[in-house]
Amino acid sequence: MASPVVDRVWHDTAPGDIEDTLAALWRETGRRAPVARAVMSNLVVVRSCDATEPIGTFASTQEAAIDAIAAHHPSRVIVIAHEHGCPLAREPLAARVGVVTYGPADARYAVEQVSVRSSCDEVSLPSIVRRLTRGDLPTSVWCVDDFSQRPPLGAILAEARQIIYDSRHWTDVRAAIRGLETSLRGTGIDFADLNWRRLAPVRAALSAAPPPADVRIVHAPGESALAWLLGGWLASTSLHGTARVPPIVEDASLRRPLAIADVREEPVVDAIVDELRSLSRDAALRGALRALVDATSAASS
Amino acid sequence: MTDPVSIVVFGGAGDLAHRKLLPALYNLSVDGLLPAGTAIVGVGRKAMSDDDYRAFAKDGVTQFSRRPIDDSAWTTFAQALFFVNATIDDEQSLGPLGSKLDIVEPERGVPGNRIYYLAVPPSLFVPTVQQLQRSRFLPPKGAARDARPFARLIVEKPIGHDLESACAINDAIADAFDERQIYRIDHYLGKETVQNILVLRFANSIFEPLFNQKYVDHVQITVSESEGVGTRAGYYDESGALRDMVQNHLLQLLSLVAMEPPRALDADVIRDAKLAVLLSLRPLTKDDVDRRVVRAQYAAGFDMGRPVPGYRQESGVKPESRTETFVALQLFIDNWRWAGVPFFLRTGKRMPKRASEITVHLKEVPPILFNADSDGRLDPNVLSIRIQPDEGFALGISSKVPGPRERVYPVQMDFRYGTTFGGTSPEAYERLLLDVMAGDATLFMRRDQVEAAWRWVMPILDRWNTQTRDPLPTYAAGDWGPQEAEALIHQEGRRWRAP
Repeated sequence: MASPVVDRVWHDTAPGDIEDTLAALWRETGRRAPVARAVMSNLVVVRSCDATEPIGTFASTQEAAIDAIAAHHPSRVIVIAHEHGCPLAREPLAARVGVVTYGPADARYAVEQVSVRSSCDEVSLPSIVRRLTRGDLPTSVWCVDDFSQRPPLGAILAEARQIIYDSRHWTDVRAAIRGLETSLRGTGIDFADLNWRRLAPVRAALSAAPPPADVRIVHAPGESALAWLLGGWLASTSLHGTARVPPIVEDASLRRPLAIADVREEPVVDAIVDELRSLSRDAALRGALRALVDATSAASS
Repeated sequence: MTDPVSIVVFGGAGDLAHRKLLPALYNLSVDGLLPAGTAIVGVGRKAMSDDDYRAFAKDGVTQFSRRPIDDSAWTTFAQALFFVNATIDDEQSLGPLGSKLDIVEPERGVPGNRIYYLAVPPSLFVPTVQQLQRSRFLPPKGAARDARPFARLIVEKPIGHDLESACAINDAIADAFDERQIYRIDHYLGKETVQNILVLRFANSIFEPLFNQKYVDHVQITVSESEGVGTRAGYYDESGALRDMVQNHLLQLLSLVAMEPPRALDADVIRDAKLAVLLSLRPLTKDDVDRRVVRAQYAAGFDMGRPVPGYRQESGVKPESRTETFVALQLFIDNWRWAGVPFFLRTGKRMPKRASEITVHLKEVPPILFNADSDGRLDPNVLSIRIQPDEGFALGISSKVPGPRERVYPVQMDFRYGTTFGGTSPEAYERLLLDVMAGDATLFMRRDQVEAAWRWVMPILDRWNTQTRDPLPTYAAGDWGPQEAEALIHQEGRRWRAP
């Protein structure tokens, strides 16, 4: 999905002046050419950054993907690049705001973007999210980090209707699952795992097939999260006759799955746009995650 | 254009004059709306020359005017500014003011029309009015509405700290001024969007038929401030959020959004309709106060990532203070239109953002067709009226997502003053000062409204006065309020909507 950005204005600003600077940018954009202000949701992108990372680059890592997502699902994009483990609670270090314009000349539309580089105490991050999100729009949080290294901040998720992440990046599935445990206890948030989407054809095929017996999941290297999700789903549905997660085995020689359906591959941007547009809770994913939480808890106790 | 007038600002060298009144008068001057010859006379305890006062005003205009200062416009405006050093301590104290007006008014061609603006602490309202009366600054009461020269009085809120003191202030003012000469300011009422509430409701056929118990599930009014108590600790610690915001701003907004259609756009007709709402508020019992009213105080927390102290740690606040910085409440209007519809009001300091918003939440569509998925109920339609910032309104509706699947998404039809009409809206004080000059009291509070609001609020204050040992809920600075406020609305199956 190519990004059709036709214009972009950016301005550095003090964190306390974000809204005023944005308003000025909108006026500047409007003076250049007629443009419609488009916004369907708040998209909060949370990612970790290193203290050594130059401040000026804080928005660039996901910039292309964000541009493409916002083109298809116009959002108020709020990127929070957070320096973890700062010894002192401080104010956000810096902020940039931008207005990005899309579309053909006769149908221009633009979205606003806010980037904040934060070295605040983690518990202060929700105060940033609450200040910057629009309450009349659904808020989705896209967590870029590996949850096994950095569990999502519950306080930020409390502000969201939907959390988007990709479990394919998890380096330690058990740790990541444990990191989600608190959020799963709440009832409100919609989990949107891009990796889970890949299982859709497999789940459909298994649902339609006769109940399997003596199930064992064998996966290729790098696909352990996908295998665990499948195992959690099987446990939550008891399709294989038990509520237990079946054995999961990694096989380095495995090239093609033996299943009756392939996993689905799709561009990340397409997947995120699709999830942003779907605000209903995925009960199957929740069930799978709950089963995995139970399984990992039982294993560690 | 109205007649030339002298605007006498008691507290003319104070914060309100500096930040609001002088910049507003400057903008009226720039827009050509200030009558030629108008004199603005600041009165205060400070020893200031006219030139000192002009420098003070210029600083205020430079910092707080909605448009940058223009040298030529400033020169014209500055000529209208004067200052009198006076107190109200004794009978002779307003003598210097009389002397100044005796010089300035003939020079500038002001025929004796005067507006007295009480930009002073509430404790000085009555003494100031009594001095004006004793010093014969006021024409006899009972003059015809269009009599000239006129004398008008502008009073800032708060009018009293309870019903009794409000009545005492109103009685004292009524000794000197007829009710139609009195303009009780609630600056919220001067904001464009507040004025637009009546236009929205009564100039569009789409909304008014929905504004009743048949279609409305509930209404929320949120007035939040991100600032702490700041430099107002002395006043605020004696006042609190209920007196400072609910009794006036929030109940005024409520009466505008809930009032019946007035038969005319006449000041008293509109104010009668607003009063009818206040008189229809279901009185609160002690049990209601305990169950339907939440008060809280902000604790240490964060403002946009920055650590900030709790209320009791603020400079000027008593360490054991029980003053509420947050109030949330549920009320009912017992009339035909709104029977059974809950109204949820909340206001507080040190909340995540500065915003004032009224949201009218319509009832859900039945759980069939597009709303059949129990894991993804459709968002009900919400009409949100943004008073500040970003004045405007939005209507949330459900729309099909483009594509082959039957997916529904909540979208906004959004109107913004800033981008629709361009430029910047006049500040509330500009509109209100202009209305006083024109003698239009529509956007000002009448005595009976003020007292009706106090009468409804008193059971809350009385109940709280008996609960001096009960734990006071707290919320972290940067939160939307305490858990108790969440519970208040959750128990009704609803949730607060963040602005």
